Amino acid sequence: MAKNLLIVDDSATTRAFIRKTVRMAGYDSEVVLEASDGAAALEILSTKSVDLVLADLHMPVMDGIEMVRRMHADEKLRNIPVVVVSADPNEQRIEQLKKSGIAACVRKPFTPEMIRSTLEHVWGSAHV
Amino acid sequence: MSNVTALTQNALESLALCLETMAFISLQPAEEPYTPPADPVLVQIDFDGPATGTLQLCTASALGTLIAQAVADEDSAAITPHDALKELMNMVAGTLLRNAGIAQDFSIYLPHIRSNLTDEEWAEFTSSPDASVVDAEGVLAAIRLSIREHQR
Repeated sequence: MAKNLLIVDDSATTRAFIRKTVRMAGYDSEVVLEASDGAAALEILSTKSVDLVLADLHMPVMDGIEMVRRMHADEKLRNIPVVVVSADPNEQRIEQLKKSGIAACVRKPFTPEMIRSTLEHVWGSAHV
Repeated sequence: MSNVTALTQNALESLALCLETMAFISLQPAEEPYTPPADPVLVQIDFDGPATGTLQLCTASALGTLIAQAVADEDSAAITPHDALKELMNMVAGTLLRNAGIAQDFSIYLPHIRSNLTDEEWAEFTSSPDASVVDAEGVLAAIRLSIREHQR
């Protein structure tokens, strides 16, 4: 069954690259939604069913850290897996996020294989 | 801080890694003269921690177009070259700090871009002894790191 994927990143470049990478990984039947910041992502999450969030950390308006905090505080959203996709070099910040319950972290720049293995870890292998 | 030298040396390596990983764009040494492009831009990203630093990339918007075409296939027209370049610098800064082994102490800020550089600004940047100038598949790019350690 197709899943809904939400990509949250202020860079249209990265959103396009993740979109392409998800298709290349064999998840081409999935519905891909996009948001350019955490606030827009929460708007989408309030009206649409989402199975996985791929989110950057540093974004204007609302950053990924605040978005994850609000998702975890919402009983309707807290079980949606979140994968952080970030260039943030601060290992402590990433470790804190992992302890707070994010599903995984992918560092930028990422290869298609890194995204594929992460999606397989979270969703299981795609049936192409 | 013993890793300042490492940061300076790693800037070009980090740029090469990010361009190759993200967009399959390889870098070659650039040959002089470094002729100004028609659409020069300066992309800058700051970081802070035990030292304050600024990473700058002086290049042509055309490099952003190359990146967009590589990452997005049929919908590359929806990506602005400037967005692609800012995201590139975001990744380069993160890679630079992680590879220098001091990432846990630093925070990086959002990148900024300025277009319409004058020929004089282009010449000043590319002739700077701290800048490394390379050829990214026909597009000149110069990267420079400025760093200032905080007094203890």
